[in-house]
Amino acid sequence: MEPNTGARAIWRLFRSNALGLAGLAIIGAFAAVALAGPFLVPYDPLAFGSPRDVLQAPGPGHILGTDDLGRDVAAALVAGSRVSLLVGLSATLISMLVGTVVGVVAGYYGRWVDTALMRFTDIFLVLPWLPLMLVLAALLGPSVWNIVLVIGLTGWAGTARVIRAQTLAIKERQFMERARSIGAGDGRIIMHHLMPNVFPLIFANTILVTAVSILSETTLSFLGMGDSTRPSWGTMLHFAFESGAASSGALWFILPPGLCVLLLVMGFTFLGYAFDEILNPKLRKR
Amino acid sequence: MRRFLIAIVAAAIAAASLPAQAASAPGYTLRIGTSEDLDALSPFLAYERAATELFLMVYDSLTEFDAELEPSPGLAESWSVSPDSLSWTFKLRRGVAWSDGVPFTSKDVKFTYETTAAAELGLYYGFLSGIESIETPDDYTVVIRTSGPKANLLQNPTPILPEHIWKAGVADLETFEDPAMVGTGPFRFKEWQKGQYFSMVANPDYFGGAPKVGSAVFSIFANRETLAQSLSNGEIDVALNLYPDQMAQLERAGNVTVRSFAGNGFTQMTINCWDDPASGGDPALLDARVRRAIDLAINKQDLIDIAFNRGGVPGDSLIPPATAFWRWAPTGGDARPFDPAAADRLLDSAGFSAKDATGARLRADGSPLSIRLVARAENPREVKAGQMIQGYLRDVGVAVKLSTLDDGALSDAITAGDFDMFIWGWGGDVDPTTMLSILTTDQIDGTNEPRYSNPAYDELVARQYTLLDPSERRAAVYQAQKIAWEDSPLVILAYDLDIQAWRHDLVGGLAPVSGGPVFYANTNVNYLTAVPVSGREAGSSSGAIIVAAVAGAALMLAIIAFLVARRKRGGKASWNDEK
Repeated sequence: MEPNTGARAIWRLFRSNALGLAGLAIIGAFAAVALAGPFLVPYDPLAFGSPRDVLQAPGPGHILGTDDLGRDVAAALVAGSRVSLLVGLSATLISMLVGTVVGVVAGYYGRWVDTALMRFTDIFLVLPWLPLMLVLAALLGPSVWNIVLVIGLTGWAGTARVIRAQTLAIKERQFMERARSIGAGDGRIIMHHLMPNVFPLIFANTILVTAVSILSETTLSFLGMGDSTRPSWGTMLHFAFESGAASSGALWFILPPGLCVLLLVMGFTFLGYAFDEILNPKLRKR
Repeated sequence: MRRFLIAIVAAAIAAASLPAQAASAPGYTLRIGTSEDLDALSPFLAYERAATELFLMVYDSLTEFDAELEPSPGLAESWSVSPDSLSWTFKLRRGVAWSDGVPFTSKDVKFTYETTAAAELGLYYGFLSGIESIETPDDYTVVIRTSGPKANLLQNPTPILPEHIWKAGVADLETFEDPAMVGTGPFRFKEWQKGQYFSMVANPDYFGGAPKVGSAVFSIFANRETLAQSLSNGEIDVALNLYPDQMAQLERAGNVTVRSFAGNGFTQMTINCWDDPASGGDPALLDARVRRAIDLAINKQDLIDIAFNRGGVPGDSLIPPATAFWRWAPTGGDARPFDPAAADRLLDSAGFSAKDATGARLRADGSPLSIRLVARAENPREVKAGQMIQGYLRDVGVAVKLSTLDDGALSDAITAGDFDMFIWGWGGDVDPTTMLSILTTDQIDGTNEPRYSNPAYDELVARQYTLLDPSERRAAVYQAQKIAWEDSPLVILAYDLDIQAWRHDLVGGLAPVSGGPVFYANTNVNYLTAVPVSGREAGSSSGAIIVAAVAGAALMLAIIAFLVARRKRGGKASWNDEK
């Protein structure tokens, strides 16, 4: 393992990275709200207000106003943070698992395995991403876990490419040659010699993919593929748009979920870039 | 140089004046914005309201409704009925030709009616029930004999189809379509781009006089906001299917006429009543008590106020208030106002009294009672209504799994009988038979989507149109409605408010039909009277924009040319020396 990737060294570098710290703070704040929120602000998506509660502007009872069915926007926002984060992280996990396995296997074994896996990856890279997700989501039906599956299974191709490139570079290094010459098997070489060196890249990539996953979830839910009983920010935006909140001036319904998505995605992007810079020596400032 | 500039400006002005000339030529396009698309071009396959509107425009029926919804001559010029009320003689118009030039004769009528009745497909065969035989003594006479008196024979909108085209499809009506839609109507079908638009051109030879517009196009809008905005911008002349909260904004503009009226239709939640091993429905729903409990548990007034933006009145019976003469409204002991406690008791008595820790009801075998509900993804109001119903039913211990499907996928599920409940709507007709027949046994696999079957109901519906005395007939219609209300295969959520608006500065000649709708009115009269407002042709506003744009571009070009020319002459040194 290279000396620079030790946890302590990384933390030292990270501490001096303002962008990374900002990203971490944003994500931390959202994670805290998502974890503690449901206990602080109970939200029942099936409890509707009376007709006079519909689309009320922010006021004493509702700090962020009410939505098109008379429910509190602030409570929905807190409940939505949970779904958005959950979907974003779970989908990323699937993406990273598939991407890493495909990338490492293709890069390590090379030859026809590489060719076959990379052509398969290319298919996923060139397929238009949004229509593919929409078709899959429509086939599977609206549910939070189906959305996780759809985003996870369509978002791994870029990761596979990056991991394969790194694997190819490391495969040529001397310590790999040495491991093989003392009789280590493929499994051992991959797990003990290759993975530790690919891992920093996987880590940095995970954070960036999370940002994309959260955005994908918002897109799908906005287009009406979300689960209306477990509303995410995207689902909120969907109903805000459909109920004409934008043109009737109900900005309290449309802006908060939009800003939350923006902030959270920005947080992950900042953090991702910071780690990319730290873990990728070529990018590091001296 | 100057001469060149003058040439540019002259060309620009000439170009700008072109669209204005084109717009003033005959052939104004009546542009209608709607949220409803066609589902098929064949009267045997179509169920959507947009398709019946298209059929009114490109086809004709023997008799047609006038602006007061009274039967008036269509392809039949005159008619008479025998003293025993069993034989009707129709005299047809002479000199009518199909849009492909073939003359129209009585053979087409006989062919259409016999084919429609035998096929038992689509929305129209119900109108032909009770007809025993059709004879054509000559090319312009049709004699229809009925098995009993038939009170609604003249209220029959079945489109007459050309035999020479459709005889090729008789064997295969479930897939056959006539892509040209050869008809006799005031318009000729042009094209249909699914999800985008369908269009027609005027038939200059129409027997009732050519339409005053050159063509008509229905644009499909997925979003009501865009629909209202397009009307304000003058991109369309007419907007249908608007929402109540859009009315004030449109009326404020001053150049828009907005009409709101109780539409002849409703939004209902259909409950699967199919008692068959092949049924995909939940067995709990086969019990009428459960269905009544569902009806009781829904606060329809709040549902309308919140989910439908106040766009309707709470629904109960099968016949909407728009056809007040035939409507039976449940009162007294028959009435079922919102009452969750009564719903609870009914569900208890139906055998679902056991509950789990969260208050959700259990079936006899201990499994949780969970019912699927489908709302149409395209319709945000129905999705919202679905969410609210989910909440109301949870309050009485019935778990509902809500999902959204597009029209096509839902239609497939309905055809297969694989659903528990779904939300959709029905549009009615002038005659009550249409609305009543959506629950008759012979309409299973047709319009009877809940697959409900009750012989007593069937008998009443079959009898009512043989009763020539209106009050006798009404008594039977009332009784049929009462049975449907008790059995509740449909939970009628709301009689929808229909809102239609048009730019009266662009198009005139439009008038409400019988005090109600202007379009989707069971008659094509407004398509015949619609006329562009003189002086304010469609192209004029966009023409003005084009003039301004071209003039602006010409001015820019002139300035640039002027500057370049100046620079070349005066500033030669600084420009060229650098190079």
